Amino acid sequence: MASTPVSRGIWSNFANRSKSLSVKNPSLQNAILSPNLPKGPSTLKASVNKLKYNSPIGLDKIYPLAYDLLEKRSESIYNEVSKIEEKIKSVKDQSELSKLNKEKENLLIKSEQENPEVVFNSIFQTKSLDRSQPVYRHYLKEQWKSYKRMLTMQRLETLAIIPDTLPTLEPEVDVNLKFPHNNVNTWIEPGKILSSNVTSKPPAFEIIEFKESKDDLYTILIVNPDTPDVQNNTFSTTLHWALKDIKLSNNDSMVDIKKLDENKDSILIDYLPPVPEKNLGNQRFAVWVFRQDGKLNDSITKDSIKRTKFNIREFVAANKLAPIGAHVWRSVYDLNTDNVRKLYGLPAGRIFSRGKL
Amino acid sequence: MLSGFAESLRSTVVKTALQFRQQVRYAHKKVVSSKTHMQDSPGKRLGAKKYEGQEVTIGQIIYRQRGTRWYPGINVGIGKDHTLFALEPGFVKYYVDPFHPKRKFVGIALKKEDTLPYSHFDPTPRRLGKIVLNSFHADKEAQYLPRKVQLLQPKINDSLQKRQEVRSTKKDSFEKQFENYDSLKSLSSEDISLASDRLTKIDGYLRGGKSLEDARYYTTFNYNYDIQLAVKRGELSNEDCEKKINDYSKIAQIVDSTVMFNAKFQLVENLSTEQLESLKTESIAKIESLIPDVTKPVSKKLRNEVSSILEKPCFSLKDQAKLTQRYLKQTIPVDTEAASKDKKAFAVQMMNLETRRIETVYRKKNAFL
Repeated sequence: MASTPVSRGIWSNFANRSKSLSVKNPSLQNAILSPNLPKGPSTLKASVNKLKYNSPIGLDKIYPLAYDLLEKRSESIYNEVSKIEEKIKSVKDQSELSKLNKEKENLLIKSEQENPEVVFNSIFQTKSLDRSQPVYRHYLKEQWKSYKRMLTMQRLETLAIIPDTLPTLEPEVDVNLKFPHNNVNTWIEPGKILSSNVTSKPPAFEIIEFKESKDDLYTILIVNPDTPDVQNNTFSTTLHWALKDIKLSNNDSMVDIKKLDENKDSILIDYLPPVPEKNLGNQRFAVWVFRQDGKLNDSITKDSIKRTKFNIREFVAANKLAPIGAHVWRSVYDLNTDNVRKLYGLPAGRIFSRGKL
Repeated sequence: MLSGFAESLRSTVVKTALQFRQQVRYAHKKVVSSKTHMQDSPGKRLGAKKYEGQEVTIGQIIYRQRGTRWYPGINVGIGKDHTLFALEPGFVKYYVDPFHPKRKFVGIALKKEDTLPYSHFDPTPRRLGKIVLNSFHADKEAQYLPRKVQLLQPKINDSLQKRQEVRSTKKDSFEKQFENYDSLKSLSSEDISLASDRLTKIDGYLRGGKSLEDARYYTTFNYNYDIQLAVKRGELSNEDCEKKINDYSKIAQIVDSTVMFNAKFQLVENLSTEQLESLKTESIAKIESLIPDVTKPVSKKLRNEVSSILEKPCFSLKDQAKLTQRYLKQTIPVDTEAASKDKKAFAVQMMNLETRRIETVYRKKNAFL
């Protein structure tokens, strides 16, 4: 491989930096680190286009200069980081320690934010990013904020998940949802109406944290605030699934059957699939993700929680849970709902009058 | 001549003088009137039909208006002429909402003592407004299907049946292939059916994009989950359930250790990840030995040999495409000078990528694969 004329400073030194801060594919890496894109941008696939490609005039002179400048700036930031690290060793006060850690993380982001290899990864390799690196978490958060967070909040507000289940939400994590027992392996957009067949077995979640997280504990609840309460002529909330004490970290963010099988105590209440009754319209199924500030109280067991007329606000307040993310899907009575009822041994659904009385 | 001219001049002067005397004024009426005169219309009876605190039922009109002087608030609807009407039975409330400071709202409170708007962070009070149907009416309603669904149902049933048929033929073909594997051949007929069911399910998961490991895991999970549900329904005892799950895990173990799927979803002998890895390096080394120089033409026989190696289960579709591109490239460098001396050379029209022009090029016979 031809030697690259860009400088070989701290961004090429992986003694103290993670290898994930570089581009894996050697030919792509060579293209990023060469001053004039010898074979054109990697986005060009046809050889005709590669041959036709001319890099911008003067780029071969400017690019190494710019790279050198940014790298030197990064090096000075790394020096600051090492100073802070030394300080952290001596400090014992908890509040000051967290302050210093935050400062360190910000500096680490700043030091790698303009590294061309990191920028490339954060744009084109979003699915395989090393989330233990602060820079990648920063870029993922920016990406999430630009679309996914807005979409989720819009769905939660227009479908009135807020305030019908919990008063409000300051989202901190990206919550993804899918039903892996199906053949089709797709993530579900918040607010989608799903068939009873799709939701007949428990879902899997991906909870992406943007702060540093090592073995944090989480609670997940799925509630349906649209269960009819005929006696009082109103609606009540039903708890469909409750998980507690789920251990997650930055690079281990999936909550699926595999993880739950290993730790069966974390299933607080078994999954009850959505089985809406006829003529009740769409029912909302809200997924709430909470961060725990320690292990949940042992007194909370299967028997102590009632599925029907579940008061999610009381539960959250009693267990000091902090809501950090949510998701929602909708279900409606369909041709397969009765089969799901039979599968779970549930009594036949009632039939309601069609219009409003 | 001159006298003639004077004569004619005089006559025209006289004529015009006469014309002036003959001008007549006809009788006419002056038309002057105001544009907006006589354009009144009867009153449209706009305004409030129900006042603050008045009780209403569903559909009753609360306010008639031009444009939206008042906006529909909670439990109130708006018609095409901006008429506000009740969506729930309750008590009319006129109110302002701090979230929309420039608007006035009309809402329906479900209870007389409620004030609107409802507290922003509390759950909204809602009314069910439906009753549970019994006996005759329930049966009638249970059978009712929307017209769209009714029309679609034969199609849905058809496609369900087709899908079932495809699955059963796939299952049969797996059972036939069990003959090639000793450990699967010796299974009892019941176990064979379970094994082929398992493979059909795994095949579906693989086509949906799951990894082989995940596909196997979720197939087992689904089976166990269904058995546990049967216990919940009271159809199976706990011991039976445990026995079934154990039996299934044994069969699953036999099936998984015997067979797996290749990149084209065909049944092949199972290999562990290390075996796959070693087979991959071995196969690539073999291809390299068969085709040491990728620029030289390859005979048909050699080509078939290499492509049969590429079909080994260690290669994913992506790997296969990559290696085909690398070793079995269709284009062989054009050596026009050498070829033009050959008597059996062919003249071919080809595009020169650099000049973007079509050129006539001579190629040797063996350059064509």
